[in-house]
Amino acid sequence: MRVLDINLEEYGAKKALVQKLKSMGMPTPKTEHYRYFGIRPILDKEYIPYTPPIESIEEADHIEIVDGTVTKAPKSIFVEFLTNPKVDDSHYDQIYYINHLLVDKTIHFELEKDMELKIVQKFTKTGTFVPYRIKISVHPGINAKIEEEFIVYAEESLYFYGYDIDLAKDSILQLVQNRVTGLESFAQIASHSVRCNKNSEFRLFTFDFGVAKTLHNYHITLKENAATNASHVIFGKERAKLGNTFHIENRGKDSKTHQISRNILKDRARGIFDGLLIVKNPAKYSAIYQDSKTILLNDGAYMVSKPQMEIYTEYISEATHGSTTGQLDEEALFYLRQRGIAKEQAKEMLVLSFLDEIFEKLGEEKIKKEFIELYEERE
Amino acid sequence: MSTMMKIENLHAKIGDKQILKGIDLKMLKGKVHAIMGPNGAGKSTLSKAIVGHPDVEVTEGKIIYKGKDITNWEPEERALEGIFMAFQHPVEIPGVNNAYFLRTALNAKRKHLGLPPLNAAEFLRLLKEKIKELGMREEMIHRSLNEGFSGGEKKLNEILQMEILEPDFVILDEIDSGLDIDALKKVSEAINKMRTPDRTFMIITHYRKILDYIEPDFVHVLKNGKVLKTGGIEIVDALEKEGYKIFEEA
Ligand SMILES: Nc1ncnc2c1ncn2[C@@H]1O[C@H](COP(=O)(O)OP(=O)(O)OP(=O)(O)O)[C@@H](O)[C@H]1O
Ligand SMILES: [Mg+2]
Repeated sequence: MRVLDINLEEYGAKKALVQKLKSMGMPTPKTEHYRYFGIRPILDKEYIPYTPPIESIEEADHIEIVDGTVTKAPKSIFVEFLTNPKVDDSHYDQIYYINHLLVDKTIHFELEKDMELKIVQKFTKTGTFVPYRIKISVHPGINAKIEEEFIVYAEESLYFYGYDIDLAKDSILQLVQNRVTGLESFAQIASHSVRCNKNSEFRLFTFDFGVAKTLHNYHITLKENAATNASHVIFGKERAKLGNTFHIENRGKDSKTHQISRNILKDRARGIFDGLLIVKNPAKYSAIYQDSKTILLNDGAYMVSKPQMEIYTEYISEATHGSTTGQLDEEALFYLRQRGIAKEQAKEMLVLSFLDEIFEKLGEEKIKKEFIELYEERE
Repeated sequence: MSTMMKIENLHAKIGDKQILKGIDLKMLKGKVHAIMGPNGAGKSTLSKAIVGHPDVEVTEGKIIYKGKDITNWEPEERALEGIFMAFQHPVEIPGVNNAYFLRTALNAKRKHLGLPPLNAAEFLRLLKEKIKELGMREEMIHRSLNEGFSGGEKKLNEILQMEILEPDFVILDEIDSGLDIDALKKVSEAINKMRTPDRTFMIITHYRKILDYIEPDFVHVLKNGKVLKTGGIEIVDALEKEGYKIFEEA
């Protein structure tokens, strides 16, 4: 099958989705948020279709999802499967709706108490197209941490997935997405929707390390006094295409968005940071901040960095954005070498110092160590 | 008296600009060599050539250090062999912790010498002792390297690195500029304490003051990419009176 060959008429039962898609049209290489990713070779390929089955869930201390099937989960979490989940009716990504159209059973996790949760996603299918969706509901006043980790064996495959996250009022969710992809032919397009209700806080960390082709599209909306604090690191090697796009909408007054992106690219890798922050008219006194910095380690590497803002209110307390792309600071590199530190180690110190702000904020060493391992792994 | 560094007919460019135009200079073991010269004479360029800065392209001549031709060595090889430069303008490196950086540098050197690395605690003890002597504030070693340091603090930090790394050949490029009176004294004391029969100093300065504290054995005057004059402290007296014009080429 080819993903774009789906016949919308076959999905009559999902009228609203079909309607939405018809009005938006199918994604094309010219679609703004796919422009730099190159979806054509990915979407035009023939895949074996696959529908993740529902299986019995083994009790474990973490959640395991294998090719879209939940195989393990802790007892403390309520897991169910939804046939008609509520969808985001204003997502900018067509694939968000295609994904929902193709999925009959959305996985649903309810977080009803404070917790730290790990989600391990395994990707194992070859030459296959795997669509699935995950909904997470964080109950009012709950403080939860989720760490998502990838294990990738899937070659020549395409995975569609995404989170629909609902942060109820006064809740806090820290979502750490640790996406290490070691296979060049692994492709993934994920489309997320996050609703931050009144006084809630969404802390997002994304780490895209590796060689694959992945694009994550986030639509995040904030109600009154809600906050999103997002930090992103891309480290791409070889012929990787690793990207994240965002529409983050401050819809309620006193809402806050703070977003930083730090990118390191080598070989012929491409990174994409395309983030649009929107302040709607009712969102008075909100504050938005966005900043993207990139280091290209060699000539063939390439970064698309597009921080953007649209502000529809006159009363805003902060709106700052910026973007820089450059090489490692030669003077700094020389300074370290003059003190006897070997060139490669000096470079690594500078690269780490560049990412330090985000690792500090995350406050744990594990992902930093993974980064160092990947960074040091030389051909 | 044995030679520490011998620079022969050194020509060097930065970009397309010929800056060093045939430097001949011999610096001796255990001696302090002061280098003076007007702005733009090429003093910093000469230092950069000695430490192997990538901006400086040596087009002719050579640099012999401890009997070896180091003209084409990598900067870190020169450093590990004992060449140290206190930068005229030390760079700020956000995110690289000062103490961590210094320990990495010291352990690189110790490894080169076949010594075991110092662990964080051992190193910190050594470091605290040195910063106290220099009158530095302790919090500076826990900050990012040179980030937000005042001009004088940056210079002190260079001296701290020199003390920790114990190099054999030390270039001080205008270490005295930007230092207050007390700091200049402390820095001079630190340098004097490190004067040994095995260590050579090349002190670049515009001012007499530091040379009153650290008496040089030789004074060289550099101008327009060449050494115009070599002598003793009397040269400084003449310069103070007459300015650089007395050393104009005929
Ligand atoms: N990166 C560079 N690009 C172009 N010209 C340079 C560069 N660095 C130095 N120069 C030029 O080389 C010449 C010598 O500079 P250098 O810094 O060596 O002088 P200096 O003797 O150290 O002067 P000062 O006493 O002002 O520090 C100057 O004319 C300077 O403008
Ligand atoms: Mg100079």
